[in-house]
Amino acid sequence: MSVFFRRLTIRWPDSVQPPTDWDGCWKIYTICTAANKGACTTIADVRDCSSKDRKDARSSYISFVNKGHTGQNLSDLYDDKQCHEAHSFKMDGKEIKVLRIWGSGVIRIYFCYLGDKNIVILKTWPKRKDRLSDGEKLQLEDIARRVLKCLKTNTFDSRVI
Amino acid sequence: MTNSTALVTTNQNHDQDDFLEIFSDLPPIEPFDVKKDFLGAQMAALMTFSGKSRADLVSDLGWKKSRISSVLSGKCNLTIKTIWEFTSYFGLDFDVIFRTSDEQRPNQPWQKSVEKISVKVARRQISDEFSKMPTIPVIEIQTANEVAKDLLTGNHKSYYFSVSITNENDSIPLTLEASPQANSFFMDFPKIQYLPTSKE
Repeated sequence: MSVFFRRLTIRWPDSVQPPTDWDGCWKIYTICTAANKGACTTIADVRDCSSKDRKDARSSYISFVNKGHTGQNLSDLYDDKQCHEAHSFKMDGKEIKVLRIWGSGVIRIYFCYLGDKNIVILKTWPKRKDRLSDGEKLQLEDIARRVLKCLKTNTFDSRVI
Repeated sequence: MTNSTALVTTNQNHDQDDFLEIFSDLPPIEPFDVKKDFLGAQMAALMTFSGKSRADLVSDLGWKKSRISSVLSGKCNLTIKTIWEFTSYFGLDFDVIFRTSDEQRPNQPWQKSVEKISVKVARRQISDEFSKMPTIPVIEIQTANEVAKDLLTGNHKSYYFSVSITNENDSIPLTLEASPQANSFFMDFPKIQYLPTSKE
């Protein structure tokens, strides 16, 4: 699977100014499987969810963007129940952590840090069980490896669409 | 609501259509809910920026852990009294700024601390220890306040980069804001010559 990246964008109400980028803010990206914004995996993850789950996803993303805008350590902005490590693995001798945010309802957002104040959402799942299955961990790991490979090959910036 | 006055952010327009599509059948987002969430995030950021934890707030403010979580959750309709108590704890005041939606928000304290420092290194020396490192280190430029905060909280980096000026012609231009702070804080740093900018 090829990976490209696009910024997470949510439609803010017209009367409320959305957060605007500044030098220290977290930039939250989603993954696209082609150089086309419509091929966004986050959209695919959420599209087939129930309306309740999609409403929770929307709230969770808004909160994620609001907190990301502060540029502060996300684990400190959420409480321990809401944001913690979901999985970790080694890649090129380094430990890579996949973190999980529980914003609203059963929606869980899995992401990892890319450095340079960049975050990428690996997966959004409506989880009815707390623990990840081995298959889900492998899935997250596979996605994370493909993403991190772009960093290793210095192709991240060229893959932002 | 702001704790500062300077404006440095710039607007960016983001493509929202694809994400809009998957939420198009849902009731519109309540503006007030978004505002509450934004305020909760800002208050959590103030706590984090100030080096405090939720446990610190429990013991220092005398609030229950559940109240702290509630206040910072972004889901509560906070009273002015609550916001005032919270802000005062950090030694700050707050105001309500009325503006149009296309005017930029004033900066918060954590935004002001990110300063742009332009450093042109005329000569680079890599110490033996640095050159033996197995991985390429992350190099970042921090303000004096950020380094001080790291040192005080035990989060200091493995190495710090020192800049030497061997003669007057090897000057390192710094921004107006950066040079006085850099010079005054680091005793181990050789004196960095402040050069007036072309605008002065």
